[in-house]
Amino acid sequence: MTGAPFLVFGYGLATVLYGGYFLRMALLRRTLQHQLRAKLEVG
Amino acid sequence: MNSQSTSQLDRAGGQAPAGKNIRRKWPILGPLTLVSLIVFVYFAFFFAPEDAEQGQTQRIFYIHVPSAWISFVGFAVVFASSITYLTKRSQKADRLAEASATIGLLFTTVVLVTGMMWGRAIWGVYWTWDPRLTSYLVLWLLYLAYIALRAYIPDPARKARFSAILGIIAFLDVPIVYLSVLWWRTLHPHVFGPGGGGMPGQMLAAMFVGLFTFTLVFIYLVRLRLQVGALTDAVEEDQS
Repeated sequence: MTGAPFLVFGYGLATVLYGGYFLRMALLRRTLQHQLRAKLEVG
Repeated sequence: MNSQSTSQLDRAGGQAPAGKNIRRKWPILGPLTLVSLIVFVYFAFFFAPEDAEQGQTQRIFYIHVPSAWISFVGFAVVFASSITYLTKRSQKADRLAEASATIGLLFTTVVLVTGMMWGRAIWGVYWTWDPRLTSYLVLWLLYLAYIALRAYIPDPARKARFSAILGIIAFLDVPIVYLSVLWWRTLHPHVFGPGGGGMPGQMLAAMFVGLFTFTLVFIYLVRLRLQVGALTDAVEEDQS
């Protein structure tokens, strides 16, 4: 028994969850930075 | 540009509002986390030998245990921050509690699923109502409730106060999870601590690299979440 599918699923899920959260937050940070900069420039 | 705008941009480090201050404190954190992740993959898949009995399935251990450790650390941060909020009414403490709970829940989810994968491969079942598994599921539900509570209370002060109380109560489950393998008969492997089985040196090294790496990942994600929180406040402040 190698258990490779379970191993791949476990590590894959962790990558998707941690990586997905990182990407979501990084993109949100970028969007908010642009929004604030635009507002400050207009103001 | 007026002085208020200048102040916001100062917080922004000239370009990136608010979060830049946090980033400036630990400029090496991002690269260090990335390098550590690469080293972790090498240790988990190449350096650590294949287990004679469990085969490749045993390598789930290197992500399961460090994630469990971080879930405890995350909820300890929620606990400490909640006490700080209730005693000092510190907004920073409330934000830290929220960030730690969200990311802690992420790690807890990975622990539950990787545990189920290991259980299916070794025990032949995804789930059994074992004391360790059950108490950990309760922990996951408690922090899910914490996040839900924060989402459904509109008033910021009430949200912070009620979630702080729940954050303190929920943490009581952490020592129960940790000690469950000593208090009750359990199927869950007991590797570390009193009466633990221990493990060979190379596997232990991979596990410690995992602990170090996931601690960095946790700190990095919390920092990112705090930056987003500070930016959201700055944008909303600017709108009002």
